[in-house]
Amino acid sequence: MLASVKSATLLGVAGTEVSVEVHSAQGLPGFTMVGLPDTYCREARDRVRAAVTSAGMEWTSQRVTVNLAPSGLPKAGQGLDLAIAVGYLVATDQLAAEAVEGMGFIGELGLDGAVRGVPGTLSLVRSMTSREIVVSVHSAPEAALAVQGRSGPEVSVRAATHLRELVDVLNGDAPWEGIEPATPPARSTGAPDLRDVSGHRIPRLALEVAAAGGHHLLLIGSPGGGKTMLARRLPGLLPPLDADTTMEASCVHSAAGLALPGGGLVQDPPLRAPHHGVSQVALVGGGTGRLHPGEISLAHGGVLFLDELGEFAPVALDALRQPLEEGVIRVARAGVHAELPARFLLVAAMNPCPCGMLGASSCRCSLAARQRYQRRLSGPLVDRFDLRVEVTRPDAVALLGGEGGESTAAVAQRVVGARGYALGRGARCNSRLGAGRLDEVTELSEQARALLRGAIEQGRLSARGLQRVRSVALTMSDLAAWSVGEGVADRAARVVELDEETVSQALGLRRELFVGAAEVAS
Amino acid sequence: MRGVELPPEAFAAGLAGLGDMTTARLRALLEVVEGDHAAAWHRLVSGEVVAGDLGSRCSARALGKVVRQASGTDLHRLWGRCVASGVGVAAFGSPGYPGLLAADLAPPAVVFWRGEPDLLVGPSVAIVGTRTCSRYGLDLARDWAAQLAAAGVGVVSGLALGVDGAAHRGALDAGAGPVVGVVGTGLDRVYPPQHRELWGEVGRSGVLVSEAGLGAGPEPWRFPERNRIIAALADVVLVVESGVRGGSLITAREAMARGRPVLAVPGSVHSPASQGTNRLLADGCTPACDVADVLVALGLTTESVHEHRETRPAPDEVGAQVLSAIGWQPANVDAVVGAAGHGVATWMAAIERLEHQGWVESRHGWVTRRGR
Repeated sequence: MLASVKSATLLGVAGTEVSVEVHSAQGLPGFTMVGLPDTYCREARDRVRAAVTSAGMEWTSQRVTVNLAPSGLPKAGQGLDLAIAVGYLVATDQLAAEAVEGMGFIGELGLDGAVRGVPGTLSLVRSMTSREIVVSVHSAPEAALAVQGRSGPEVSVRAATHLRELVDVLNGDAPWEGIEPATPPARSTGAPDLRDVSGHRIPRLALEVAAAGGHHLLLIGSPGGGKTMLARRLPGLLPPLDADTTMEASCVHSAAGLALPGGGLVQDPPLRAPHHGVSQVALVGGGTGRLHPGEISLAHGGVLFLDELGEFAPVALDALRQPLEEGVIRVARAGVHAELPARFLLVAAMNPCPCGMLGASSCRCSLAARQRYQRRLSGPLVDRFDLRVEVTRPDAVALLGGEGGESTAAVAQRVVGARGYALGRGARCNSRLGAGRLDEVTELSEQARALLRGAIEQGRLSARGLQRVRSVALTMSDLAAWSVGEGVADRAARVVELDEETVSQALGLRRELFVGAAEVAS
Repeated sequence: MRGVELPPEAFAAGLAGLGDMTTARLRALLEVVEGDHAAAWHRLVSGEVVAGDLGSRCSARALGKVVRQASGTDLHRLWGRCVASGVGVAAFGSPGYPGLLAADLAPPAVVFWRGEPDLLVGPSVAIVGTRTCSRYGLDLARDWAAQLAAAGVGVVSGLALGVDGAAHRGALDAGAGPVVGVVGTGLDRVYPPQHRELWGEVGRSGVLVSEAGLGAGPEPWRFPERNRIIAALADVVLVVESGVRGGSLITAREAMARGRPVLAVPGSVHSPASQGTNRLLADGCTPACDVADVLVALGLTTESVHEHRETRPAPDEVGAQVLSAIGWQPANVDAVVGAAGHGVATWMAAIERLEHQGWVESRHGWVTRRGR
């Protein structure tokens, strides 16, 4: 007899609906699975068999064939266990086919018959067309989030704890278990506040501009100067994620097997700070099988913080270039490819030299050691940092006088204001304005033009650099405009003139790295 | 070229190009053969030399290395390269050998040059200093070299990074006065590579001098020897900046051994790049506070020094305030922008403009005023 049950499989962060077809007939007893299952799936046979017998059902001596359709798509993960078991029970007449009509099943089985949650439940449930979807009781709140507010016919999420109980419910002998609705979490309050930062006036400004314009930021300075402390305060300045980004970021978290914050969707901009030993695959995503999302995708919508940038493997860093430009990472392997979201704000920190004391008079590095250290960063990567600022240890007065600065909340308000202008121009933030659009919305004053011409002639600015400086200048001008209360519609509609002062400020936040005293400058 | 009789200079070039033939060993060897380079070469390649021939401190192993290097050298090809590249060669005692060096305490056994060797006469000053100099030393070396060159004084230096390169740059830009670059490597081996362009310019408009044969690399022992030649070629040595240890102090010592005046530029007691020069001053060197001091040490009149004209655009109002807030010691940028009632962004932009105009230098979070 033949049974067909719906389930789903994960590739990258996207789910695909899968039909699990189970056929049982007389013949040499056996259990074959076809349709490109990976190792996890193949092992399902043994799990399903143990679970079925543990649940008090019968494992018949028939020839059973399981096909996972579409058969050309590689199937990954353990989420198909439950559908295979249910299909088997229907195919062997232990469960009525009508009882599972229009239903989908996602879950891993334990040998005792328990139904377990699987990573990526959010994406899996979103990809399914069934009107009732059965998941493990542990993933039920997450699955409920996936169907919330979805257009189209009503979809119910059902929770199952054990295969035996599930069969009873499907036979109509017991009611469905209730599901605890996920409570949307309040915006987290434990994040570090900018108010605690004394001194660091220029880095603070850089943080504000980075948050307002979505500009990548590089902090250079001595150890203990406060680079990490500053970087950790950046996510708090970013506005909450919009609806689309919330769902994308949540799917990534779910696919990576991370618990969603407070059981709800990811609404606060995430902060990911991988250690510098991270491999290229762990950073950008990939691997064999279902293509795991990497750190850059986990930072989608938020901040990717790379501390000790010079210590990262150059090959890992150079893999960042494409996602930095496009906001997605395309991972391709033989036969499979996936597009993972990776729109993040890159913040990196590094020392100016191996001992870290360059600039202050106590640097003990040889000239050669310093040059070796500085050569580790590729020029194209450095060029992608719109903001590069030096972080020095605050003087004793600032440290002990304790005059703290503005709070995160105050700065975040300006950030939201400035981002409003960018949205009015049709971009998420100013750094995402294309070259053509930037030409349309900004205009350089005569003196600003002369200043930039000088910088290009000195070799300080590349063509990309010039565009980035204009984009940063626009952000700074937006921040100033919001402070004087210019209307969003007015400002978004007009051409913004960038004067010499604003462009100087943008250049001041884009410091030249690593110009040693050894070179003969003018 | 093969089969053609080689000139004595070819043998001299061969000897000086051997990687382990130090100046002292070559001198010892030439003493044995009474200054005959050809005889020295034949003695080496035929294996007739004994360890004592290369000085008492040369071990049998080191001797073996030198002999192997000599046997592996194709003298005809080396000499062919010398002739083709336009490098001049003179062995000690031959007519083309520079007079200044011939009269020196420790004359090089052979000298190579590219450019105009006649530039080695006339009043000259060696401007030397550390590679890890500060902006103060860099600006000063460049400015004074330009003024001295404009006054017709030859500028001798070592083409190293930092002060040396700045001195050459300044002298070349002045477009007057001879420029002499004394290098430690062979004249076909540009070192440091960052100075490739400068190296070429000195070779074209001045003269490059070396006692190392073609192909000789930057072995560390070559640089103190190079410093001795700088001291020999200059009438006065000016040390701009130096750490407690460093090559420019060797140059100063070599100059004192030759009875040449050594001048040192005073610097901040906090600056590591001025510790060596300040120590020289404490030990009795003449302080050099302006170009006139150098000219006086050369025995020249100071009339030729032109009044310096300010070429930088005058700073605007905010810029002037920023300048006075910065002062002449490195100041923390963050403290500077927080010092007054202006917005952080305004002051940061002002510093950016001042740096662009050449009034200040801002590096690694510290900002300093620049002289000129």
